Amino acid sequence: MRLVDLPSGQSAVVVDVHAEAALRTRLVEFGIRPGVVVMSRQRCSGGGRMVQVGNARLALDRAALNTIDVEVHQVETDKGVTL
Amino acid sequence: MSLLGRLRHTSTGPTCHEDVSTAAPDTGQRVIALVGNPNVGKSTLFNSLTGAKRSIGNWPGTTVEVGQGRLAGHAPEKSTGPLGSIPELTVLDLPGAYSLDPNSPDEALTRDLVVGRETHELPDVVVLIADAPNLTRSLYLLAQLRELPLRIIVALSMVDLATSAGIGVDIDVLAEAAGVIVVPVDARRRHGVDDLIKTIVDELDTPVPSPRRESDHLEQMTPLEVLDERFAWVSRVVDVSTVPTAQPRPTFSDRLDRVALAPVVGPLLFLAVMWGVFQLTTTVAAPMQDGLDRFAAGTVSDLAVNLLDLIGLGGGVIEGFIVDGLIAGVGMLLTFVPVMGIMFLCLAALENSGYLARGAVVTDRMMRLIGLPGRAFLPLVVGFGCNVPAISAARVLPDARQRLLVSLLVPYTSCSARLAVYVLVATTFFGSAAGTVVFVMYLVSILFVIGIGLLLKATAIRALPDDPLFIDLPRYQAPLPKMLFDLTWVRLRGFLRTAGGIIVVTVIAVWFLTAMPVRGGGDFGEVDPRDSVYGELSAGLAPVFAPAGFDDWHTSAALITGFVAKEAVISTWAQTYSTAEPTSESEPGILGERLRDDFERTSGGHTSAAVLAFMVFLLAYTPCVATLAGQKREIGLRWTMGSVGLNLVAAWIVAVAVFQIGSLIT
Amino acid sequence: MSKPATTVKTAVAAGATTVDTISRVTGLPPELVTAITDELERAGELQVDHVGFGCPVGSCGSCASSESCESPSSK
Repeated sequence: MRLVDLPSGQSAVVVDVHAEAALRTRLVEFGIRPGVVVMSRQRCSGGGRMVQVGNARLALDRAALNTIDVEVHQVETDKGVTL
Repeated sequence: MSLLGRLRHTSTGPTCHEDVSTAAPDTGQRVIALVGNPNVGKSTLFNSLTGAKRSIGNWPGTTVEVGQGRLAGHAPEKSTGPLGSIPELTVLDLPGAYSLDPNSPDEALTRDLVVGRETHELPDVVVLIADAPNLTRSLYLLAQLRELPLRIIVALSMVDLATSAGIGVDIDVLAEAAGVIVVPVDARRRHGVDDLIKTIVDELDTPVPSPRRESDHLEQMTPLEVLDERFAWVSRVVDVSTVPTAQPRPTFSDRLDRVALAPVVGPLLFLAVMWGVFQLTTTVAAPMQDGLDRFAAGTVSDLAVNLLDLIGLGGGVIEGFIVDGLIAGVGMLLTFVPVMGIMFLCLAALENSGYLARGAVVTDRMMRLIGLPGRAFLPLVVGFGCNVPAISAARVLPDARQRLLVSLLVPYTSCSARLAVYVLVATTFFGSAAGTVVFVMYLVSILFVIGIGLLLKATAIRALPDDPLFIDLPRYQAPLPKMLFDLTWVRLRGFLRTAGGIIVVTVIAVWFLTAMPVRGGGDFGEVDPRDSVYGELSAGLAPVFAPAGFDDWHTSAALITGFVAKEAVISTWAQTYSTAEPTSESEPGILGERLRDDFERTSGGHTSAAVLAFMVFLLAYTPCVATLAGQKREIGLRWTMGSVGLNLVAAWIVAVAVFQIGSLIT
Repeated sequence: MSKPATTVKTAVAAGATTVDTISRVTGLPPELVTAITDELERAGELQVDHVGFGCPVGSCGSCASSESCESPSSK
């Protein structure tokens, strides 16, 4: 699914980033690239989302969110925590 | 010969306190330096990397202990093959260091080996051992190392320790964000060591990367600025690559953001905050302004008059120049200080607290309509308080063209000085409907901003970057008072320097023109306003406003001084009608009567239409001199002149339209 | 945060004296604050009082002030 559709409170793994070069570089600098876990925290006014990557929080608009494909996994870690 | 150079010419062997021997030719020995904070497991890793042949000894010429050994698995061939001897790979275990700015001889050695050396003297590869539980501290060294021409590999140790402490490190993200290869190692259990060795050997064949820095002029920065830069980088890298291993819990910032970024409540909250800033500025600044005004126009002026009388220069031109020119000018300048100061303070607080970033998010969509990012909302809202700091506030925008567009739009925001005039005029002509009329003027102001914005976007300022919204939201924090005051003072000082001279000069010029007689035979300084140069100018200008219904010289005179400051409109009216200024804005008194008479006359009976046209013209025709000074500083003289031109044309066209259409209706 | 070192320095000037307080006031994580205060001291921008007397060498775990202690051995 696209990151724009990830419900608030849910985490997912980034699968692909379709953005063009300039935006993609910026996204990568902030840690958004395939294989990374992102958490959708809440919806923002204007249709964007606030997303957590690592310890950083980013506000992205619909256009940017639409370029990011994510997948929700059920993963068990050692502590029994699911993603 | 450099220390490292000398080392290259030595054969390794188990000796202590050896003195280096020279003379052996360069055998192609490559040096791998191990660096890192103390207690990160460096020595353990060194042991794993070097196998049997290693030694510990003093570095030549120092008392610092250094380990030295051959990289495991890379002994030279017993014989030399067709390709010559295989290069030996020497590993140096340097003492623990927190920074390349040395606090001890130990750290000085590390620094010595990597800073300020020729390429052939540098280690071929630097392996930085960073420990995951103390990633920030470890990465500071990396921040310094990347500024040098070195091949760097990061060996990340104790990853499991960090994970059980609740901090997961994403190796790939770390590598990408930091711009170096990262190899996780567990030296005690020998995990990752082989990978590390292979990576080292591979890396030896790659070209040396050029120094990487966040900004280009590292040498000209103060030590504090350099620290800021390095730590901002480290902080960012650590932030994006560390993941809490437990389910991320909402922080205090997150809980605030639930409200601040919410779809409906968010923008409302922002408007409320801006309204609060606006209110704070007017209510706190207004009494200060009155006070300063009375001080300048009253106390200081009286004092000056008395002094001049004393030294026999009383009356006449000199007194006029000093009191009505210089003192009045400086006094006017000072009255800006409370407004500017409070506005800057509020802006600094918004910025520092982190709330500004949220404001940019919530206003983004609205601003996109005129091709501006959400941040542009801020200077425009500030403009409704006072145009002068609004121009400076345009600096929050990262792009020069966006700053230009905003600077051109600020003059159309109706500032509080204009409000003063509106209230007087509205109560004079519209009585109880005054409040509504004033509110309508604010709507007109917004329409102007949007309209001119669209116009400019379609013509003069095309191709604005259409940044997708992507804002890093910092944690909320309580603003630090000292930082706020510093920021405020710097900006205030900038304003005083820019606008100060211009305001004083303009006031003096107006005084001069008003004092200079043209006809009627009066003396300089003793002349009736209408008979002065200023009066003649105003009368000459008045016919321009005929299509808009207010072609009276008193009003054009007032508009001319409105160029200096909008508050001056009222005082000039009073001056030209030779009445006293109204004691309060809502009781126009005699001045009101005179105005009513004249407007009635010039508008041919369509008074309301003419009054509205006048107010619209006042709204848009030109900002005050202080704003123009700010514009000149931000966007340059040519654009400022263009801006004024556009102001005048737009204001005139709309004012005429209002009058013509209004006359038809009333 | 674009100027973490300046922020910490300002916090200290404003009266924050321990890593904990600085961290709370500035919103920066304690580890970052410690690293920054170390480097600020190195650069001569800050004076750090190392509580050196009466410190159990090597066993800071039993020390009551190990949280606010700036001495490198307590890290």
